[in-house]
Amino acid sequence: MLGLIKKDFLLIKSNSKSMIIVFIIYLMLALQGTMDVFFIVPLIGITLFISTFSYDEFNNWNSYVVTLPDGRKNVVRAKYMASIILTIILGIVSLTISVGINYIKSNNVNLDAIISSLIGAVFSSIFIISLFYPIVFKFGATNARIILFAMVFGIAAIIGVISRLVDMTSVINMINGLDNYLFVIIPIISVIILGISYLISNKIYQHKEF
Amino acid sequence: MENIIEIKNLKKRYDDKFGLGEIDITIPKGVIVGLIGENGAGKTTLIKSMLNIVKIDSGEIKIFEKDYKKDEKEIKEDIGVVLDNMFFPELLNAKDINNTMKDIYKNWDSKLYFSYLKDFNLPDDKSLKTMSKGMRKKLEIATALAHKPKLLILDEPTSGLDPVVRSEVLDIFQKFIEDEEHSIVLSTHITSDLEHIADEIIFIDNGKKVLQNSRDEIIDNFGVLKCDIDYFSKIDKQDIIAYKKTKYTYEILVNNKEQMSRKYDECVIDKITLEELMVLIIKGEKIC
Repeated sequence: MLGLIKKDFLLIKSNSKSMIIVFIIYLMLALQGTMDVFFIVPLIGITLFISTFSYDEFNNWNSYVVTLPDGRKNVVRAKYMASIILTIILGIVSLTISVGINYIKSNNVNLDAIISSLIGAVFSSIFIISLFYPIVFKFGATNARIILFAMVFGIAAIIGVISRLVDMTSVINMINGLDNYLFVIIPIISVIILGISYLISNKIYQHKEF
Repeated sequence: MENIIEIKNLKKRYDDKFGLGEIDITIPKGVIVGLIGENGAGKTTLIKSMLNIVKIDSGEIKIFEKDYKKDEKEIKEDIGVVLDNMFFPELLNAKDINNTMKDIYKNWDSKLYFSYLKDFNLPDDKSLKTMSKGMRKKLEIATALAHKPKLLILDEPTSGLDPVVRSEVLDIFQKFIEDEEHSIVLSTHITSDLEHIADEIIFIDNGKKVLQNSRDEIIDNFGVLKCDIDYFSKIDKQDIIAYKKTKYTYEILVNNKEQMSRKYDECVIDKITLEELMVLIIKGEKIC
């Protein structure tokens, strides 16, 4: 499995020039105050994850990788592991930048707010991975991208409709009430949805033909 | 002789139109087996079934006398693979492939891998997208060999290679089986390659195995009997496997070449090439 994780990181590394430009743009927006620096985690993360899947598909890697001794289970596992490692790296980078920006701007670091943003960012990233990976394993990277966009719009539309029909203040109050526990609840939810997503992806991939 | 591959009653159907039907194949140790057949005959599906890339509908595949269901990892540790389409991520370079593969194969030998790169004149720091199709094929062959497998399964390994490199690669393949323990299964459209190196030929047509025999027996026994239109009617129908009519002559595929040349001593029976055999069986007209 280590070899497969390495392969994804080598791919990301060789694609790093274009990512550095995107990163600098995000950084400038963050410095300006237009965008929270923690958007970097899910935004760059998902771009990089999708890119590794797209390269795999475009270069016919998928039919080769199942001939390697690692087996199909480890192919799926390696994708999830590589994404989690990348999320952690991006989280650490964002945390460092955020602390730096805070310090430069106000000479005062609000660590509580930064940690909350970090947890939110990591959760978004894990949520996207969990949603996206079973779809990409089932339909391939190109089709999955279209389905993912449709799903995001679909979810947004459903939430929009629900919020018009139902009074959301009670829901918001409930979430606010949980504020103190979110540090515990979010990681637990993340692990659960990631676990379910992995199991679904694994099941799909076991029967996949290339 | 021990068998390295045993396939019994393999069936694989993609849809109503295409699939492999009831294929039985046995491949012993120490041989090079050539898979021939026209495009879409089922060669790649057969190779993908041997590699567990596609799931078979029924039948049994044993490699090194082991089953994929129980011993997938052990089987795959000892197989080197080249697929028909290029399959390495083109953003990587040969060093990256080494870094990846050394953590995938237990027996990966980096020294051996780089020595193949040197022999093949391949750069190790240039990304694959800057390499020609032939160079990438050579890299794939080097990778297939560098973990010292016992079996090579190769789909069109020599396509895109120039004649000089092709002959180098064929030499490597021949050396690979010299110890009588290793085997190679390779499919190719370049049937002349097989005439040089293959010990056995398996001919797949329309999802079925139509012929499996040693190369020498095929070349020695089959022949092309050439005769004019008048003489054609004198030939026994059961002697005609298939025939092709040209402007002035008939070209007839016959078996038992020596016996036929005695029986039809007024005609010439030419030595057959694998290509002619393939064309006559697939495209030739049949009487029975």
